[in-house]
Formats: sequence, structure tokens, C-alpha cells
Amino acid sequence: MTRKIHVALALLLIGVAGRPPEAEARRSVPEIKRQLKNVEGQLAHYLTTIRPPSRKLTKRQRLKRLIDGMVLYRMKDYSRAAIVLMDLVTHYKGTPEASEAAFFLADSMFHQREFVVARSYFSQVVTEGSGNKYYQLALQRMLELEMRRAAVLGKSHTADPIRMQQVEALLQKIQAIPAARREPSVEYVRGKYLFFRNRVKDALTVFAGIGTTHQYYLQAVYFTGVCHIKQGRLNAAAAVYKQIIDKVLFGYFRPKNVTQRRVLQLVIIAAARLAYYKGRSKDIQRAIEMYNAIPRKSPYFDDALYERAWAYLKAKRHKRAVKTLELLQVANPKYGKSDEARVLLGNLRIQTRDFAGAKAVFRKASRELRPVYRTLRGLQRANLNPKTIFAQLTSQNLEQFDIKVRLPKLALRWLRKQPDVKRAMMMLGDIKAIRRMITESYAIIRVIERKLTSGSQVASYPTLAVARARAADLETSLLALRGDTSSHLQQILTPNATVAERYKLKQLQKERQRLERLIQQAPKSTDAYKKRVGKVQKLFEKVDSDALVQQMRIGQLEKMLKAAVSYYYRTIKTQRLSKALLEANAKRLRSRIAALKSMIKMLRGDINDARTGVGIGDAVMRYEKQLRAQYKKVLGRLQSLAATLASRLSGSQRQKKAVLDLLLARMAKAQSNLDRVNRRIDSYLASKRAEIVRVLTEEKAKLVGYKVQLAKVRPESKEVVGGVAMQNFKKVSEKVYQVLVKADVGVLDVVWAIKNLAKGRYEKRESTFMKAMELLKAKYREPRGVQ
Amino acid sequence: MGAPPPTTPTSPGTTPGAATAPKTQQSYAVKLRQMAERVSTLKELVSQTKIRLNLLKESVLGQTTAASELVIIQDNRMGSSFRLLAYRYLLDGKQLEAKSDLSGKASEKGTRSIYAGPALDGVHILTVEYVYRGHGFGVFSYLRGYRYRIRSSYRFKVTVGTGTTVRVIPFERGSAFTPLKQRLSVKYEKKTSTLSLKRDKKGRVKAAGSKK
Repeated sequence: MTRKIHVALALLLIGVAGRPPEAEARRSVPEIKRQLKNVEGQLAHYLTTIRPPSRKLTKRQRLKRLIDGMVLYRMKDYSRAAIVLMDLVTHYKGTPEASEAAFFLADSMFHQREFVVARSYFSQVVTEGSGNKYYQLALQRMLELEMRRAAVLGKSHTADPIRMQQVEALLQKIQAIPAARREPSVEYVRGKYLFFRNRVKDALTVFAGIGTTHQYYLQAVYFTGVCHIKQGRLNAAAAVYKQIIDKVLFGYFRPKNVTQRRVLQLVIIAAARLAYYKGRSKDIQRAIEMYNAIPRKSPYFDDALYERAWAYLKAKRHKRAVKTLELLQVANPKYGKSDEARVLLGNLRIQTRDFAGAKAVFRKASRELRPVYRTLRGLQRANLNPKTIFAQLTSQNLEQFDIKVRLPKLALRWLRKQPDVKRAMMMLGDIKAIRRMITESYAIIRVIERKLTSGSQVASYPTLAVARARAADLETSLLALRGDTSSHLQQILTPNATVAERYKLKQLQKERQRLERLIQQAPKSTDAYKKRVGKVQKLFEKVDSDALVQQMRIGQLEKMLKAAVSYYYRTIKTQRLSKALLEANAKRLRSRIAALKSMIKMLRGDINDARTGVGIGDAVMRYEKQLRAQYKKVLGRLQSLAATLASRLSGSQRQKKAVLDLLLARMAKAQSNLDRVNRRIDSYLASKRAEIVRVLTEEKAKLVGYKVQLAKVRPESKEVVGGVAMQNFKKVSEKVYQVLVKADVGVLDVVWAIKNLAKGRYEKRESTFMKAMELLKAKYREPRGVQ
Repeated sequence: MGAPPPTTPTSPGTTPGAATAPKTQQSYAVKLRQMAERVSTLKELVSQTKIRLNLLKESVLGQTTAASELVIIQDNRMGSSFRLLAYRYLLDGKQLEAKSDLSGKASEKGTRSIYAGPALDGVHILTVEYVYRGHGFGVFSYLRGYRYRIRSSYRFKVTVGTGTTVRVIPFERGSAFTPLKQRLSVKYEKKTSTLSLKRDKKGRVKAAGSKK
């Protein structure tokens, strides 16, 4: 705070030093009278027009705010979009802007995975009825939320009858919309929801009603096939898929965008799977052709390759299958089923008599998986603590958990892929988000409290800020008039004063002139105030941009250090510097860089704070107020001196003094009116401040409660997530075991295959030899027989 | 659906207490579900408080939360004597985009969008780095062996509630007599616009209701 004042004063002094002191302006008495009348008029006007500040936005301002919110939404800055839109929705209910903002607010919440709040705002849009432009989209989103809920809760999502009634009402609302006016996406989502609710027949009816020109036609076709499969009608599903594939092949239907192309690829893969399951050789051939149709860039390419290899295997085209799996290894070495694919490849190589290749595949798999399996077994036997798994899953500070045995990377990777573990990780992400939001909330509270104590709160209310600036300006004018009147008074008094009194008058005059010079630097109008604020803001911007340069330099230093350490470790064999020395130096430098970073961050924060503090009622204005107060005191002293000298004045001098006294009295009244204006502004500010403090106290209390809840949740989450991971850990262990056994059996298979081959060859040779022997015997027996 | 199941043996029941496993697993799953619900509710409450505090902050500071959009475009206008091999864009010291394409594909003329998204209001520093290779035919083919590196910074201000477009233009300055090394230069063009939204026939904002 003091730093801000210093900065502001320094900036003011720069301005003061740059200007020459102006000469004392002396107005004639009639001129003073005229100008005083003007000031009195303006004051009377202010007294009647000042109203408590209202933050109500005009229609144009609301529209601007709506655009801001929507632009933030479009840029996927959902948290900030929610702030802007929430303002419109809560403070401007019933306006068209609030009605439009409600949907975007709900959708922002939806994207932030705040489904309960999102649902309430979507239902608000739905309650408004079909007149709302976003009515159908809100209905769609509400169904999507229900689908999400069903996916999380499983069968138990239907347990709440009231909720189910609400969903039925939603479905009826969608049905009530004339089919021609129904949004494509709404219809599709309705079908999808019915499918997930196991109302397959209803879903089929909805999907069948989606025509070829419909935006979600391909999706509907895909789900139609899936519905048939669910009902056990594989041929019907195959026919549906064949029909659409033929349409595409013969050019009757062309996918229009990436989404449609992807859905088409899903349709092709589904059709290929159906053909594979039919199992006849022509079906297998067709399946292979369909798998071949999946392009390289498709996200389903790896799956298509893997399944194509199985299709080749079923068609007994082993070499082709081997080539396909080899291609899969190259295309995506991290493919999810890479271990299964590896075992399959080994088996296929045995079939193609590539024994060396098969052995290499199995041995490699065995070599990689055995230590993993051993570690996992060891961990299982040692009664692994769920918290240990939790720590490793979340890559926390492992020393904290006293972990001696670490989970193998492969096991961790597989573990993270388990659906329950994924859900648990998502929950941990939410806990992290809560912590972050609480910290950010406290930071906001600090900013608000700092502003409340800074005294420049008036700048936040434009009407009051203008009034305050005008009041300051009027006060300056009034003081100038009072100063001039006092000068006239001094002229009358000086000839009748004693030497000591003259000296006193001169001192007062000097002091008055000094203060006048300083006061004259203050802006003379509201616009001038704004200009001054703009000028100071620019200076702050410059300082901030210099700080930004320093921040970037610190960032560069950090990168350089990282690069140097990395280079050291890469060339460690040729380095003379010991590792310990390097680490000690690096640590020292890292801590220095961290200190610099925090320093610059703090500095930029201070600059930002100071910048926001600039405006009406800021430190400079408070300084000017002090000057005016001092000036008033000086004038007061002059007036009291005048009162003591009044008895020595002549008749004409007394007459002149009476005129001036009258003026001074009017000025005093004007000053009291001015004080009333300022008091009224202060009272409005105080009531606003009280309101702010009340809300702030409420929110602070809530935050304390949330912190308590979070503190309860965190240790529990460690146990639950660890427990879930533990259960899945057994599954992973089993999976590792299975693949390992397959790899070991594969090695044996190779040996057996070699042995069988050798045996076969030996038997073949033996039989050939025996046949030859028989022939020879027969040959030599014949002539003898003839003899 | 999927590939046929493998025929190799499966793991024997080595885990002790395997019979009770499904029950425990179920209980953990139930616990997880309940806890996730609690956490989700808490998250929403905290989020609401944060939004209210932000609105309060807006009213106290007299500032409004508004969007500031920043678009950075590369407009390569370098002459035929140079081929762009690599470039790097940093905004306030953080990398936005980098490309090193030694085959010279990065040297495509014309515009390329480097960044389009939100930006905090205030002063920003854009730093660009380009690596060019000389280019020439016949007797000038030796130029291909030369590499030139340019680094340049641009300080600009993003104002709240506006869209700012910064066009970065690497170009060749001087004449045929200017040494190659001195010809490489970068200039910047900044445009500020007010934010607006496109609406469809029904009067809805186009981005609305995009399916996840």
C-alpha cells in the first residue's frame, strides 16, 4: 500500500517538477461574485442529482457483456465465460440477453463438468419454452446429462422415480416439437438415450426416422446396426451396414466432414466384424477387404490392422497375417493390445516356419514381462498398502510414503487404463481443481480487501467518481476564489497592521502562494482527471513491460541451466567436474532462479495492484485533498487575523471589508454544501462497502466450510482410490501372467515345432530311404528269381 | 466384439482370498461412486463461490471480465534467394509454435496461422526466430550452403474486450547490391478490432451446442 502511494507521489512529483509555477491570479470583486454564483449553481445542481451508485447496465452494455461472454465461450475459456454470463443471468433476469446467456452459462458449466449446476440452467432455458432460441439444444444437453449419469451409475440410475419422470417429460417435450422443426442433433440424441435405456425398439424407430439428408444420418445408421445386434439379428445388422457401404461405394452418399468420415469407418469396422463372425471363407475375404478400407490416418487404423491379422489367420493366409502384425508394430508400437499382438505374431511365425523370428518374439516378451510379473507377485505377497499404489498412480513424492518397491512402468500403464482407475483419477483431478479454486478464491478475497482498505473505492462507481472529481474541481475553484478574496482583504488590512502583524500577514501570503501553486497543478475538469489517469496508466504499463522482459530473461536462465545439466549427464564420461559439485551448483542456481522468479512475480503483482488503484480517489487525489485542507487552514488564519484588525479600519475600508466578508460567508456556505456532496458520496460508498463486506464475509465462511470438507475428503480419497487401484492391480497382475505364460508356451511351441519338423523330415527321409531300399531289393531279387 | 479369444492357458487362482474379491471390489466401486458424487458437488459449490467472488471483484475494482482475443499470423514475404528452414514463436518467453523442416517445406510463401486464442490484457512480447538457407541456381548454387538466423522481438498491448491481430512479416529489404546477410528483416503489423459474433439463420450464435 505504502509502496503504491510512493509510486503515485513520485509520478506526481515528476509532473510537478516539469511545470513552471504559475503567477498568482487576482480577480476583481465583481468577477469573484460572478464566478461564485456559477459555483453555487453547480453545487445546488449536484446536491439534487447525486444518486446512490447503480451497476445496472443499459441494453447496449448488456449486449456488449453478452458478446464478451460468448467470445470467451467460443475461445473455450469456460471459467471466465461463466463469470460474465452469470452476471447477466442473475442480475438481469427477464431480459433477452439473460435468456440467451442462460444457455451459454449452462453449457460452460457442462464443459467444466459441473453437471448439477449446468442441469439447473438448462432446465431454466427449457422452462422458458420453445420461444427460446436454444430450447431444443437445452433439451438435447439435458438428455446427454442423463446419459452421462446412466454411464456413471449403471443400472441404479433408474432408481430415482422423480428423476425418471422428469426425463420422460423431456422426451415428451421433444416429441411435442413438430418433426420438421426438430433439430437434427436433438433427434439423434433422443435415439441414443432410448438405446442406452435399453428401449431398443423405440430407439430403432427414432433412428429409422432419420433420413439421408439428416446431419446425423450416418450415426443413426451405425446405431440401427447396433440395435439389431443387441436384438440378436446379426443378418439384419449386416444388411444395414452393407446398404450404407454400397451407397458410399456407388456414390449415392458422400461423407461431408471428418466426423462423418470417422463414423463411416466405424460402420465399416462393424460390418467387417459381423462378416468375420459369420466365418464362411467368402465372408472372411469380405471382412479383410473392409478392414483394408480403413485409411492410415484413421484413429481406428490400429484396431483394423489387428483384427485384419485375425481375419488372415482364419483364412489361413499366415504370411499375410505376419506382415499385417509387423506393420502394426511399426505403425503404433504403443498400441493398447500390443502384447496380445506380439504373442499372435510369434504363433504366426511358427506357422510360417520362421522359427528364429518366433523365438525372438517370445523370448523378448518373456524377458520383458518376467521381471514385471515377479515384482507384482512380490508386491501382492507383501500385502501392498493401497496408499502406496495411490502415491505411485499420482506420481506424488514417493519418499513421503516410504516406498521401497516401485510398481513397474508397464503395470502402471495398464493400471491407468482400467475403467475404474480412470474414474478414480478423474475424481482426483476434481479434488485438485477444488484445491486450486479455493486458493484462487482466497487470492480474489485478498485483492478485494486490499481495494477496500486502499480508500480509492470511489473509482469503481463511474457516476460517483465523476461527482467526486467534479467536487474536487469545484473545491479548487472555490478555494481560488477564496484566495483572491483573501488577497483583497489583505490589501485592506496591511496598512493598518503592526510590524509583527505585517510579518504574520506576509508569512501567511507566502504559505498561501506556495499552496496555490501546488493546487493549481490539479486537473481543472473531469476529462483532465481522466487524462492524468491515462498518463499514469501508461507509465505503469511501461514499468510492467520492463518487468516482463526481466521475467523472460529469468525464464531463459532456467532453460540454460536445464540444458547445461542435461548436457553434463549426456557427456558424463568425458566430464572432469564431479557429479556432486555439479548438483550442488545447480541446486544453488535453481534456488536463486526460484527466488528471482517469485520476486518478479510479486513485483508484477504490485505493479498491477498499483495500476488498478490509479483513478479518482487515488493516492494523488488524496494528496491534493490534503493540500486543499492546508490551504483552507491558512485562509482561516488570515480571516481570524482580519477580525482582530477590523477595529482599526476606516469607514470606507470597513465598507469594502463588509462586501468581502459577505463573499467569504457565501463561500463558507458553498464549502459546506460541497462538504455535503462529499459526505453523501462517502455515505453511498459506505453502504456499498457494507454490502461488499457482507457478501465477502458470507463467501469466506463458505470457503472455510469447503476447506473442512476437502480436508475430510482427501485422506478418504487416498484410501478409496488406492483400494480401487489395488483391485485392478490384481487384474493387471493376472493379465501380465497370462501374456507371460503365452510367451513361455510360445517358446516351447517353437521348440516343439522345430522338433516336429525335424522328426517329420527324418521320417520322410527314412521312408524315402526305405522305399529306395525296397526298390533295390526288388531289383536285385528279380534276376535271381529269373535264374 | 473383437478378435477371437486366445487359446493359451489362463492364470491359476494364485491370489489369496480370491473368493471375496468381487465383493470387496464392488464395495470399493460403490465407495468410489459415492465419493465422486460428493467431490463433484463440492467442486460445483466452490466454483459457484469463485464466480460470485469474481463478480464481487469486478464491482469493487470497477473492471469487467471481458474477452481479449489474439491472433498471430506469419506472412512469409522473403524473396527467392532464401528458403525458410525453421521457425520458432515465443509469447512472453513461452513457446507458441516451432517447426524445423530441413527439406524447406516451411518456406511456403503466404500466410500461416501461428496462434489464435485468448490472451490476457496488458503488454506482451512476441519473439520470433527464423533460420533461412540461401538459394540459387547454376553459378549461385553455392548459396545453398549458407545459413542465416534472425531473431526479433515485438512489444504490443492487448486491450480488454478487443481482438488483436499481429502479422509477422519476414521480408527481404534493400536492393540487389545489399549483402545477403543484411537483406533479411522482419516487420510487424498490428490491428485491433472489436469483438463480434456470427449468428446462424435462427439468430443463434454459431458455436452453440457443438457436440462433444
